[in-house]
Amino acid sequence: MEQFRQGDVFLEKVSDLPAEIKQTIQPTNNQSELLIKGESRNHGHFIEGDVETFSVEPTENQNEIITHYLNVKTESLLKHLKIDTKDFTKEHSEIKLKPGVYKVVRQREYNAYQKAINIVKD
Amino acid sequence: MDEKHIKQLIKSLENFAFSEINEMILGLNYDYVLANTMFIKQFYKQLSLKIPKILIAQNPEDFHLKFQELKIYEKPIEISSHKFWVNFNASPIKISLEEDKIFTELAKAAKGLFLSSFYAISQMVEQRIKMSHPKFIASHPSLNINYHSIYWLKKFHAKYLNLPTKNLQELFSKTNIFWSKTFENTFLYCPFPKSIHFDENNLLHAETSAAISWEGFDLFAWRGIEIPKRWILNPETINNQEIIGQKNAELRRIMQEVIGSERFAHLLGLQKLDEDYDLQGNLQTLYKTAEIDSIAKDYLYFARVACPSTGRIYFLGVPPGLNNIWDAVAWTFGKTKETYKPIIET
Repeated sequence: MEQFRQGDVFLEKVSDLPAEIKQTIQPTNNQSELLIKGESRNHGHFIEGDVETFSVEPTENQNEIITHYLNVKTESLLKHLKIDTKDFTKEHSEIKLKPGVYKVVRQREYNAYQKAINIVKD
Repeated sequence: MDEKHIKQLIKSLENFAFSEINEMILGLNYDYVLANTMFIKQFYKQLSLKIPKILIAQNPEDFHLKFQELKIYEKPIEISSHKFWVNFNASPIKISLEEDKIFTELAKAAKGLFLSSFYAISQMVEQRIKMSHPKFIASHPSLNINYHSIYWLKKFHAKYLNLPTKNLQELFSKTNIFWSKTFENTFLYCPFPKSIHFDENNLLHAETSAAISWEGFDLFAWRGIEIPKRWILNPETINNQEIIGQKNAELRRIMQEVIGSERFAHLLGLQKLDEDYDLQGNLQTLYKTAEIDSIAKDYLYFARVACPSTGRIYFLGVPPGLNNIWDAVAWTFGKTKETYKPIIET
C-alpha cells in the first residue's frame, strides 16, 4: 500500500480501520489539526481537510510505533507548520493524501544502553 | 479588516519587534538608567503615588533574589497589562470598537509570536533560574511591566494604527526595562541583556559565545534550544559517553553540529558497514563501533541519515546485527528494505 514520509512521520495506507478502533475510540476534530508535536521546537505535523483522526496510545518497543489512524474523506494535506502561527516551517513540504485510511507511524531508534526502542524526538 | 491585512500587520509586527531589539542592543551610548528613571517617576506620578526607590537588578537571577526580599514587606501594585495599556491610550482619545477588535487580534497573534521568538527568551531565562530557584516567577502579568508585554506592542500600535503617542508612552519607549516589579515604594527592574544573537529564523543562536548575556548571567543556545555552556566554550570536552547518553535526538544532532560529523564519528570509533544514496541523493551510511561498548555490553550501531528536506544529518541508533543501510533506515519505521517504499518523502 502507498507510503509517505514527512521527516520523522511515516504514513501508510491501510485497507480499513482496525476493528477495536471503530468500537472504542471517538474520532477527534478535523480541520488543520495538530497530529504530532515536535519535542524541542515549535514545529508540528498537521493534518488539514475532511479527516477523522483516531489517536492510539503508542507503545514503545513495538515493531511499528503507531500513534494515529486517519480516515481521509476528501483529498487532504499533511503539513509541517509552526505550532503557534501555523506558518510553514520551510522544512518539509506538504503531502497530498487521497481519500482512504492511513496509519501514522513515528520514527524510532534503538537505545543500546536501555536495550529499548524509543520514538525519535525531533 | 480582512484576514490578509491582519496577516500583513502580524508580519510587520514581527519584523518591528526584531528591529527594535537590535536598535536597543546597538544603542550602547545611550543613558538608559536616566531614561528608565524618568519613565518610572512619570509612571508613579500618573498613578498618584510618590516617587519610589529604584532598584536595578544586574541580571535575571539578581532580579529574582531582590524580588524575594522585597515581596516580604512591600505592597505590590496590581497592573493588568491589557487594562494598563488601554488606560494609557483611552484618554482623551476613545479607542473605537473596531480598533479594539484589531488590537485583540494583534494581541492574540503577538502572543503566538512571543512563544516562537521573543517570548521564548524570557521562558528560557526563567527555566534556567528555576533550576536553582524553584519558586521563581518573573512574568506574572498583573505585577509586571515588561518589554514584551507592553513596550513594543504599544509602539507598534502607535506606529501602524496611527494613535497619537502619549507622553508616558514616549518615555517608556526610551527605556531598556526587560522585567520589572512594581511596588508602592519600590520599583525593581532588570534591564535588557547586553547581547542577544539570533539565527536567520529569529531563534536564539550563537556558535562561539553566549546567545544572550547580562552581567553575571548568560545563556547558550543553538537554534532556539538551550545547550550547556561547555559545548560552545570547550567543545573538545564532548566525549562519546555524553553523545550516547543523550536521549534527545535533536540535542545529539546539535552536539554533532557543534563538533562536526567527522569528529562525531571518530569519537564513537565508528566503522562503515554499508552505504548508499537515499532518494534525494544524500549519502546514508550504516556504522558500527569498533569496540564493544563497556556499558551496553555490545557493539553500537548507527544509521547516518539525512533529513529529506533540510539535508540535516542525524545519527540514529539501530539494533546490533544489521548490515544493510536500507534495512537500517526501514527499521526506524518498523519496516524492512523490502517493505519500506515511500512514494513521497519530504
